[in-house]
Amino acid sequence: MCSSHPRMTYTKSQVVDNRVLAEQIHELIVFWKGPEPQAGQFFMLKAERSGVLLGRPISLFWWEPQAFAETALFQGKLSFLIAARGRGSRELCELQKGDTIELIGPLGTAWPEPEGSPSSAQAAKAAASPPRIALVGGGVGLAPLICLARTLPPRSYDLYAGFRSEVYGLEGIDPQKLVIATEDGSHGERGRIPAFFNPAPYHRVYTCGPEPMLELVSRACQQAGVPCYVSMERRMACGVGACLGCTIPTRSGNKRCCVEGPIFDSRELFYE
Amino acid sequence: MNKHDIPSPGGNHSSPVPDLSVDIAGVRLKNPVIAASGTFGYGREYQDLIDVAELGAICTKGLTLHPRPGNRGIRLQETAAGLINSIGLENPGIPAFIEKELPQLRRLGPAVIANLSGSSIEEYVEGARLLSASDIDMIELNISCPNVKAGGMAFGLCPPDAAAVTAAVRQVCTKPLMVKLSPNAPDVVAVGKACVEAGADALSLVNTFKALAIDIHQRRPVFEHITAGLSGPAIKPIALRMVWELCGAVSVPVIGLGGIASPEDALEFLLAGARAIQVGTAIFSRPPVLHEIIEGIREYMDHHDFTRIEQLSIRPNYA
Repeated sequence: MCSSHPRMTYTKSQVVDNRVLAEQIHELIVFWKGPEPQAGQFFMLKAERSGVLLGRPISLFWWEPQAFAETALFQGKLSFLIAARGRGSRELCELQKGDTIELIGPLGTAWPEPEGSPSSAQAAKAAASPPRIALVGGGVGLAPLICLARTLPPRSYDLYAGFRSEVYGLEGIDPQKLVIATEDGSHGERGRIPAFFNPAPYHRVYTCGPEPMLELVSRACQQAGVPCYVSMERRMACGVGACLGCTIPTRSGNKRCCVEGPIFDSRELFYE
Repeated sequence: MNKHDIPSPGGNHSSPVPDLSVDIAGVRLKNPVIAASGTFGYGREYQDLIDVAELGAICTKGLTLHPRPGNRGIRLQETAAGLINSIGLENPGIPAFIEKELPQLRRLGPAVIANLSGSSIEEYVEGARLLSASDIDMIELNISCPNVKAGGMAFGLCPPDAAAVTAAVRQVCTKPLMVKLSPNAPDVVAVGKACVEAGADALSLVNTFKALAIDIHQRRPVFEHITAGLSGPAIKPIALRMVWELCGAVSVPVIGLGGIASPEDALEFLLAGARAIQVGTAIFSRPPVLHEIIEGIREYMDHHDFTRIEQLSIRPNYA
């Protein structure tokens, strides 16, 4: 290692658990020893025994430090929500406990901290007033939002969660208001989540999911004058800013989704 | 020279220490392992992941005189044992590279090879002029990028075009000049020979193979420019064959690349006659592969009592 405090590392690690949360949706939990991640960041994941060439960029769902870790480095577990879609993600979904996985991370930017994020003393007061923060997510795109929610005081935010049919991944969080929409109407509202989201009451919105959803949420926020932060997804080869495969054109020029992102101010992305 | 003629510096009881350093047109690399252009950014991107200083050299991302935004749309498509890319030479332009990237790249330790591209001979020449006045060690003339509309690979497909751009750059280039060849040329050996006659000090090959991917759901090509460049293990045996053929036809150092992902792959290229090798796509998923290759070459030389890289070639010298 060149630096005594590397921001990221490459490591081989063990799979702790692979849980099926819904059809084609898995939660993959792995051991991790390296720099401590932040909500919003992602890792490049690849099975050691693999038929694919490249790691896949997957946002962190949650992380949990191990008690009595002895080193200065973070030591504990990382969790990822993975939808089995292509060859790479299907391979990750087929991993079993004890299998070896290669990781590069933590990578990319973290969600900006909610302004004046309340201390524990202020948390009770914050809980009494209507939340100023909305988290709006769709499908496995909820992962980085749930990751953020776990770092926020209970009931200090509202969560809008959209799914195709089954509902998953909402354990261990405590939003003041939870709005669920499913495309087939099997849970919550019938339809897509942007139809049930009004940004007007909020001071800040965080969103992640399919790109059409991100654009709808971003434009609604811009019309209401509410700052909105978006977690973007692109195909990536390196994850560290070298290959320029994930470039996103923004208002202020080309940005690498893996380094300057994945978190962007929505006004940088959807501005025409 | 026979390898057994070399006396062991360590005396009777220890074998000679392999010397991994190589000379490429007057530039001494501490080992023959080079990070390939477009896969290693400007070096600092990998500083936290591996000990970059241990590399023999770093080739920069393809540079052009003026900044280029690169291609729109999808830029990457993984295939069986391969990767198709359509980056399109996104880069800040040579003046910005020299000002903002080169100082830190220089400090990393490895030799610095600037990969130079352009859409006209005039642009190549002006770029070479600026780079010659900078603190780089060598220019790698890129006449083989398949992802730009004008220039790039267009200069690398036939001997007269390749010779014209090489000769023009040679006139202003005060640095050692290596030309990076395209495997898409109908006769890559003829192109290589033409470049040497026009003044190239070294040749590197291969750049990516022109390839295609189609999105069957949208029923259209994946890439906006339709075709793009294939790299990765899928191309290695073809790249190796081209390096073998070229090494039998030219007397300048040849740097081999194309799908190298292990010490064994690298050794195949060195045995085929390459003086050094470049690693590209394999870095993406496993950055430490660079060090594994350096160590693997060292172990192989140690085991077989080779003391110098040049002894590895099984290719009869062209003379």
